[in-house]
Amino acid sequence: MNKQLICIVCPKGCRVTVSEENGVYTTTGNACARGNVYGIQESIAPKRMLTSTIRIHNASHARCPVVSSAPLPKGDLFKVLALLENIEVTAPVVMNTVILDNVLNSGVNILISRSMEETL
Amino acid sequence: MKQNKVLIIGGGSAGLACAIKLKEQGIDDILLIEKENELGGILKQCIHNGFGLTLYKQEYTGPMYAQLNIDRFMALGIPFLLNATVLDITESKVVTLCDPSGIFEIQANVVVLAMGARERTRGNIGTPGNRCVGVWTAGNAQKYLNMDGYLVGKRIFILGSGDIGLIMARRLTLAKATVVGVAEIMPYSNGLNRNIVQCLLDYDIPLYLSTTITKIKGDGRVEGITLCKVDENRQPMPETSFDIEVDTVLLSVGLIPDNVISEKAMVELDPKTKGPKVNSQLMTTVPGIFACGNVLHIHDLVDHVSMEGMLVADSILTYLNHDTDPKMIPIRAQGALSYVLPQTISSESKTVLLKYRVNKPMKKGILKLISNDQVIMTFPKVDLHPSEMQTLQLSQAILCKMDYNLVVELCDE
Repeated sequence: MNKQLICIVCPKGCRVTVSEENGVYTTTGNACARGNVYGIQESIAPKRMLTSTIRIHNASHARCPVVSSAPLPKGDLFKVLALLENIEVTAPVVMNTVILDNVLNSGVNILISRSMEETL
Repeated sequence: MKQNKVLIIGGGSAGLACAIKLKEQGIDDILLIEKENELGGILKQCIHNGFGLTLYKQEYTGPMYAQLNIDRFMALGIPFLLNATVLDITESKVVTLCDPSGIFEIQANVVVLAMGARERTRGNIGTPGNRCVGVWTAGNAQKYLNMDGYLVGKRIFILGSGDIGLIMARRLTLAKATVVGVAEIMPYSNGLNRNIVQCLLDYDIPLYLSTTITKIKGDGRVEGITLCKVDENRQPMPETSFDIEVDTVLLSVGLIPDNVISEKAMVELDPKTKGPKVNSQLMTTVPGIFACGNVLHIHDLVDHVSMEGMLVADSILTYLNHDTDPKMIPIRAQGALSYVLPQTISSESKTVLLKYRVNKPMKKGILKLISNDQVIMTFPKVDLHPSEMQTLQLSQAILCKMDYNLVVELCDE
């Protein structure tokens, strides 16, 4: 089995060919080791980083950005977004604070991705 | 009149990087001016990840990249003003400012232009149709959604396939809007390949190439658009037109360096980059006024913006310590290049990082460095794309071969 992919690990966007033989995956066309990991993962079970926002009170803006600590299974993205809809925080908050631990048993945490001060 | 050695206009990635490097090298008399109510610039609203790979070998989200720089800036105790805007700069570097305390003037030895860019609007591209509500620039919609929590529409069409448009297609989909499609007037996308994959293909959003919007319809609010294929001269072909029902149109049709203030200081602009003409030290045509980041030319990666800020800091140290007047050698772009930066190379430069963009996608090409009609170096190039800024490091060995009438030319193999 051969599969053509465009690597999304970095802005370079290498064209990666993933080959599978007896359950062993190999990649060609990737310029780095991360492209190899991505190509194989994408062929078995695609994963994506998730970024979104949550409600924040007492800050200079209404929304606070969040990010997953690692890529999540593609099929879980909207489920995690639904969980984030119910989360509210109050300023001050500090970057990298965990707001969802081991979300959907994925081993991935959701982190606050900037610090926000309290506004009076 | 208050005096400052270095006045930096803009607290985004370029301004912050410049201020941090200056302070680290012992310049204390700095003042950074920011017009918004917090530092960080445009990255605050770019909540997606993918920033910092070149500079930090790690991927951050936009707000994270900004936060790391803000934290370093604050730890160094560099003076700054928020909610402050520059009204005027003279050639002698008298800067008129306005902040909540009122209007005042500062005499600066050095001014750093780091004001970033603005989005091109419907007026810039002249899209015909009704003047109804629901036509937004992509960056504006991004700010409303990611910072204020407002979704600009429910059924959205995006004109322009630059990275902001692609990123917003995904973001709006995740925010439960329907993105009906993205149209691009060119026969190729202007965004990074990775963004076509992870923003459009992942969510089955169609990309219409060689297509533009020829009409926006709506009584009060946008109700629909007419799309039309364009020919090789980018002229609409009416027989190919079709209508789509949408309530919102987002425009992602390019950025323009924000040089309203630069022009007041009589800084010369380059018609191609729309930013100041600079030498290899990133000094503009007005001595003591430097430029870095999107105000100089539009970047696709923030890493290069930060690096330009740092280069300006180094150049300022040289400028303040030496009263020299180096010979400036003009350099121009030719062939398949839309521009090359800097526009002049100082004879005193040890190394120079040339930046250029191609004006069409090219699988293979040869980049030639020409001095006085003699080709002094050639560089084979592969996979060149207008949306990706290219760089070329010129070592001292190459620089000493460069004489006058410098040309960078890209041609087919």
